[in-house]
Amino acid sequence: MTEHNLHGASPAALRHWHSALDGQRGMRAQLRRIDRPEDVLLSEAFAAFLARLPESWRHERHLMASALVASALAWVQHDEQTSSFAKQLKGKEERPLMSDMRFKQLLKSRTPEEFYRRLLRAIRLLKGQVNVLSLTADILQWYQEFTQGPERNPVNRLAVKWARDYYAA
Amino acid sequence: MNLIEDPWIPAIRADGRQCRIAPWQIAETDNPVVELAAPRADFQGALYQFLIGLLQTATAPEDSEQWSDLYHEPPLADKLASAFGAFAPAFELFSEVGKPAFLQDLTLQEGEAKGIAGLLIDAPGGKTVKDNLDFFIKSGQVEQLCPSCAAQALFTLQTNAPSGGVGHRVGLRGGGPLTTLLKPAGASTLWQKLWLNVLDSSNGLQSANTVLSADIFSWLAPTRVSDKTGQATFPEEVAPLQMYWGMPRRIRLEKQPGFCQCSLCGGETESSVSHFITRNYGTNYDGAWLHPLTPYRIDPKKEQLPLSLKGQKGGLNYRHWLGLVLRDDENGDQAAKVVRDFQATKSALLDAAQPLQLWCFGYDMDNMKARCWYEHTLPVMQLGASQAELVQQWAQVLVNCARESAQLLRQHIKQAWYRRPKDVGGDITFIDAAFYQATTGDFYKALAALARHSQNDTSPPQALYEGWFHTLKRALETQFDQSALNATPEAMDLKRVMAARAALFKNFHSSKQIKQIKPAKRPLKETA
Ligand SMILES: [Zn+2]
Repeated sequence: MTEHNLHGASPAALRHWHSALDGQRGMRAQLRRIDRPEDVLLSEAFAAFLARLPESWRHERHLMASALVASALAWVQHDEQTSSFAKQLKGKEERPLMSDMRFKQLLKSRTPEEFYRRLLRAIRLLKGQVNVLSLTADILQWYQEFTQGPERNPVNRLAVKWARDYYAA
Repeated sequence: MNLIEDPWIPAIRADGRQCRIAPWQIAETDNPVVELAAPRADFQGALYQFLIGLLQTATAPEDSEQWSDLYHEPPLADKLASAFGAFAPAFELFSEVGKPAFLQDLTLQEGEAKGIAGLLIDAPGGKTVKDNLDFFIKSGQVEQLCPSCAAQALFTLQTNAPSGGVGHRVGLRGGGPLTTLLKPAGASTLWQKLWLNVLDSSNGLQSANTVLSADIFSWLAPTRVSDKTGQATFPEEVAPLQMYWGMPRRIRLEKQPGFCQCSLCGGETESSVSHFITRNYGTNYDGAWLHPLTPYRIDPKKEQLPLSLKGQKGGLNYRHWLGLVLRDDENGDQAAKVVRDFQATKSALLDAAQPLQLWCFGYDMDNMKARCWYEHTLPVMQLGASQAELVQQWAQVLVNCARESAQLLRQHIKQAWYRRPKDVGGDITFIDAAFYQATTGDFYKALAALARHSQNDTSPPQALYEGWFHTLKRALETQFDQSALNATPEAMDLKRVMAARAALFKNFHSSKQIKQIKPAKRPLKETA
């Protein structure tokens, strides 16, 4: 089983929060209504999200990453746990579900807004069938590399991790 | 100075005291000598070979029983002194031209005069000084040597001699050969360290009948020169013992009286050597020489002469283990005579609980230049003859699979790096080095397990093979990822990298060699 780095969040808590959105249409709508991830910061839905997560997710440095996760997960219909997010983007067919070029673009987004927009496009492409934990870990890592530069050990970089899943799938 | 009678060999006694000994003192049992203490690593190896050669020449045991008795209890020091003493006339370091001087040309009157640093193998030649490539040793650093260091330098050069320009002959084992000596792994006396490498007379190396024979010590007669009118020297033409006393270079040391502080050992002496004279076309060793202390590559078709193994770029690692300790059927490498003799006869006579090592050393030569000196110790297992045969076969499978993996790794990393890998040259052997390094620990663990397995089972050790399969696979994953991705991944063609990665494991799984060790059922989870 792959270990996801969730920055201390409990996998069960995340999954539970996500599945509970089904019964809380208002919350979900709040999270989906935004254009830019930071728009979510002051919402009640986001506060409820943070309440289930470790203290560190509330720190100023982490807040944007937390917002990206909450808003992106709001678009996930069903937690499809069978394979990783990058593998899901490749799909099972010969022709990738998300094209090679789009896939590279997603990774190379220049701002969190751009990343968010492309992420939503990817989730839509998957018809909302996405691995919640894998997506969360990938968003967290993308944001970390965006703010702090890529991992020193190339093996652990998101680009490599994704390429391994996407190209080898 | 007489190298048989005078105390010139730097050594360490059991109580840790440094001293200088005459050769016979290796048999002293009161506070015995435990180790040599040469000022340079290559001299250390040379001193060992000097003493082993002396023991072989003067006091070779008749058979393995006598060998074993003497291993456990050295001869009386007086007895050894008189056995060695008979050879003293051949071991004067300095004498007038026309009279024998140790490892020096009997009649050399005139020749090229050279500074004493020229005896040292890492010393830059004229060309190197010019090219300013002498990063090894700064020229001018060594100006004068004490007689002891001069003797060590002389023996080191004659025994390892690389090619030295037109007519400056290489040593009897070729230029810069690898030497392998057996050594007890724990505490032991110098006597034991040396005696482990002495062969009994059944190996055709019985003690000299005629003490002062020019067939053994070629410097007792005019040199068999090898210029146009001269000749090569074949094993059939001289005594086998000459292998320990090969003299390819024509050299005469010049002794200078007067106070000296030695550039190498720092010792203060009443005389020194700062120059020597030399000439080319000395003894040209040709034919199928098989030096007992050196491993050789043997042509199975016997069309090529045996080729002594040399130091290699990147040094030694476990893929050389078979060729240095037993034999490697893949390339024809065969352990040195003393090592094979040990497995065949001596091993049974020793306490099996005493672990042994093989001390392997030599220069990494780049033609006339020494790139570096290196030494390694490899484990030696005490195996009976039939056990050794099994371990050899099984270990061969492990080594073959490792070689195959390293080759696949190199090939696919190139594919990951370059669009057209076939067109790219360049030295990427560092990839092999890292791969072998990463799997060394597991190899020796597996080897020890093979030895245990061979005690009560003759069928191939399937479980060990499978363990090795996983070791290799894991190492391939780590090494591939680290090397192939060691650029900025975002700037790389990750699609190509991942295709190469997938191809690596596909080829690994379908390799003929690897199939020998692959678990019968495919594991459920693939981590590719
Ligand atoms: Zn000295």
